Amino acid sequence: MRFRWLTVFAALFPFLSVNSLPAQDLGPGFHKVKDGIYVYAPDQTTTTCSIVVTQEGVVMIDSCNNPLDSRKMLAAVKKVTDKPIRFLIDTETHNDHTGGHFLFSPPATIINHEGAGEAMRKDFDPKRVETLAARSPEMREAVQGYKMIAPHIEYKNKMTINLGERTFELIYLKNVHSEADTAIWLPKERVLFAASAANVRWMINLRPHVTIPDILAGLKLMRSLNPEVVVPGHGPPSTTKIFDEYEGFYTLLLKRVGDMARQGKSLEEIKKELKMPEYADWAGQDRLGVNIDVAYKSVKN
Amino acid sequence: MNLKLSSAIFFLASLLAFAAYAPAQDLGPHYTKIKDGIYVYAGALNEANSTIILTQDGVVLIDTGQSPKDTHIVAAAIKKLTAQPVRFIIHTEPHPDHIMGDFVYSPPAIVIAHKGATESVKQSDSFTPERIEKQMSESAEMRGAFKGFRLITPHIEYRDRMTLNVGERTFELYYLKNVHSEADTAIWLPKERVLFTAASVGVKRFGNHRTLVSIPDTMSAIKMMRALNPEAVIPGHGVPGSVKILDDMGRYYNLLMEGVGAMVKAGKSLDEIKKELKIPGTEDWEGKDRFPNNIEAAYRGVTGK
Repeated sequence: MRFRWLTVFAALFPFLSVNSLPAQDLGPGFHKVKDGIYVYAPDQTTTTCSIVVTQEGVVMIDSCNNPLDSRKMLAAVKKVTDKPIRFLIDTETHNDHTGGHFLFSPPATIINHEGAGEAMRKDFDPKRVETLAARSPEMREAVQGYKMIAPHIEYKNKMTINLGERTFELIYLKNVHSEADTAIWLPKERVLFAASAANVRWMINLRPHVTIPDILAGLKLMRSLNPEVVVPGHGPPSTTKIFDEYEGFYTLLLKRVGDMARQGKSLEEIKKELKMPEYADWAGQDRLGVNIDVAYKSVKN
Repeated sequence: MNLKLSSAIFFLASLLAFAAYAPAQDLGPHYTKIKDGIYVYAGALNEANSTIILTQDGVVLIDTGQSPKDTHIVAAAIKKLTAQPVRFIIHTEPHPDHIMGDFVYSPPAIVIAHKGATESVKQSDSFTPERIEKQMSESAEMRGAFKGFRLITPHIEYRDRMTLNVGERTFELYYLKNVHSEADTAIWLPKERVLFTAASVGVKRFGNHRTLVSIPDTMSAIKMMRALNPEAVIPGHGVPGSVKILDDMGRYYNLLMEGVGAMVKAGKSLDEIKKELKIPGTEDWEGKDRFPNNIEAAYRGVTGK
């Protein structure tokens, strides 16, 4: 009888240990969000990439800032489980989230919203590998075998992934950052991957297609899910606090730009005069200009 | 060394050539070759089709066959065609004659269907141990085919539309609302101009219209699929063909709606319509026992009841 219990425990041990492996055992920069959910976020602004372990394999979210980070994540996956990475979900199309795909796929099936493949092909920079390789001998080694891999699956608006005991709800975020942004919601675990709709006290590089009303709508939608943990596209895991911070920032920005536009100031004048002292400690102050551009467009529309 | 290398190259080239150009008859009976690398299997006339689509990065299967016995026959054909794994299974519907054999390929195959498919499987009484035992008891061969059986529900449930890119091929998935089951998917290969219609249409055969089916929705689906202008049309059941399959079913539903509409206007009851209505051109169709539920669906469409 005792032998049977020992056998059962031995059989379950690998699974139990997977779920309880502390983040520090995976190396610096790893955060354990919940059992079986690990985020690699080396600092406040670097791209996050995450793994969610299930009984039937791993789901990865973004393939890390660069192939060196991707390889760190790959080593972490091997410590956590011997199961394959079955799905890799992109929260956006940019190469600091998608450039490591070649290390995971095959076998991983890559997923993002409709339009992602086209955007990745359009933005493809054949010199990026060489630029990365020039950073260090380690990076040169890490980029070996690089090739651009576009998503195998492009969904429209919403999609559900069921793997093992977990469910992943994919939700399209329109016009918040790239041409195809996806939030990922784990309803049972109450963990939300928020893409780059909100980061951590860092002004985001807003491209011309982005609209601030759409960002605010995206933040509202994500907050309504009532997540316990929010994992941004860049920076360490947090809570809905980051939604409040960005909502405050964009609302104030829209108000100030609107007031100045109504006073008859030109975009150039607004860019010269407008200050956001409440956010002076945020990283990426050089991006205030593009944030004003986008706010101005929203105000004028 | 050179000879060995040449032999190896020749062997590989032969394999590749076989994969791309193998005639359907080389795979065994009941296969139809649609285009290079696309083979449809049906065990018997009007049994559920299962289609093999080869790509450079693995195999995509559309449905897994009428029963696990058929699934194993298709699996053997796949082995003849390629050494690559089945990477994706797309369900055109969640009924057992389309999905029961998934376990043969998954894992590693990823199963894809429209939202509602998992719920439909869970609610269905087609997957109870008693039903499965009944199917297994058909023959020793069938029991053997069920070895290792487990019910697989879709890993991916899309909504409305989805695109799947595998190797050189693109698969566009379209939700067909209220045409047959709780989650029907048409699959369109735009480069190959091949369309899988699910069971929204049949070939000279009346469809089994459950109460959820709407004939106006089915007619919209046929119109949408017709607009794609496919070269080859593969229904959920029945012999693959051309747009004629869509046109024939479109014509039938038009006549059915007109006929039921006229009789409702004339004050006839549903029972009277069922007794009296005839649709010209369907005399040689199969599944005549289903004609009454077709009339019921048309009656719902006409009266909104």
